[in-house]
Amino acid sequence: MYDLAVLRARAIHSPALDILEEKDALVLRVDMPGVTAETLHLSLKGQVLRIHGRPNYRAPRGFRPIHEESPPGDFYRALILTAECRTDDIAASVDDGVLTIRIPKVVV
Amino acid sequence: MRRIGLGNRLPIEWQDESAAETKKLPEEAKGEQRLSSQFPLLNLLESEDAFAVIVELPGMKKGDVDLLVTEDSLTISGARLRAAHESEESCRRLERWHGHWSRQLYLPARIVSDGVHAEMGNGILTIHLPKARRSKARRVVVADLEEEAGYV
Repeated sequence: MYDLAVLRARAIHSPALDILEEKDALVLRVDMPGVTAETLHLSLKGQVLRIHGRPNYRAPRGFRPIHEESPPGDFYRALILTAECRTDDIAASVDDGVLTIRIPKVVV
Repeated sequence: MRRIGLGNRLPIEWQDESAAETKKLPEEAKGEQRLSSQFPLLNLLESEDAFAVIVELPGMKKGDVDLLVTEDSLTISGARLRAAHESEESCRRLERWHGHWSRQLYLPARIVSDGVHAEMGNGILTIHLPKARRSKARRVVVADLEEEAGYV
C-alpha cells in the first residue's frame, strides 16, 4: 500500500503533466525521467489517482555533485478524477521516461 | 520498453469506494512544482579523473540529441516537439515543455574530448568526460657549468 512516510525521506518533485482530450478518453502525459515500469507505482482509491515514481538510475561511483538542478528524489502527484472518468479501465505505460495514462470517459 | 497496463490491469490497484467526490480535474495534492524555465535540467558531477553530466530528457531518444565537446566545454541540443494530433485545442492542460533547446556548459577543468562517451535510456542522458592529465611538475637537477678548455 502507498506509504507517505517513505516519500518524506526523499526529495519530492511534482512532475510536469499534460492532459490531452480524445473523443472517448483523457490521455495524461507525465514527465518522469529515469522512471521505468519497475519503479512506477500507480494507485486509485475512490476518485484519487496517485502517481509515484522513482528514477531508476544511480550517480556513478566516486562522483560528487558540483552543479545540481535536479536533486535526487521521487516524482509524486495526485489527481482527483471527475465523474466523467471511468475508473474501471485505466491503462498506463512508460516510454523513455514519459508516463502515459489513458482514462476512458463515461459514455453518456 | 516494456509496456504495462493496456489490457492487463497490472499497475492500477483500485478500490471502489464512494465515487461521490466530483471535483474539477485535475487538482494537485502536493509536491513542489518543477521549474519549467529551463529545459532540460542537468546535474554536473565530478570525480578525481572525470566529469559526469546527467541530463533529464523525458520522451527523447538518442537520435534526438546532438552533443558537441571541446577541450573545456560541451553543448547539447535537440528538439522535443508535440505530435501533430496533439493540438493545443485538444489539450486541457499543458505543462510539459516542448520546442527546440540547447544548453552549453563550461567545465572547470580540461577534458580529453576523444575520450568522451554518452549513453541514453529512460529519458536520461549520461555523459562521461575524462579529465586531461594535469601537467605534473618535474624536478630538474642543476648541473655545474662544464669548464671547457679555452673557455676560461
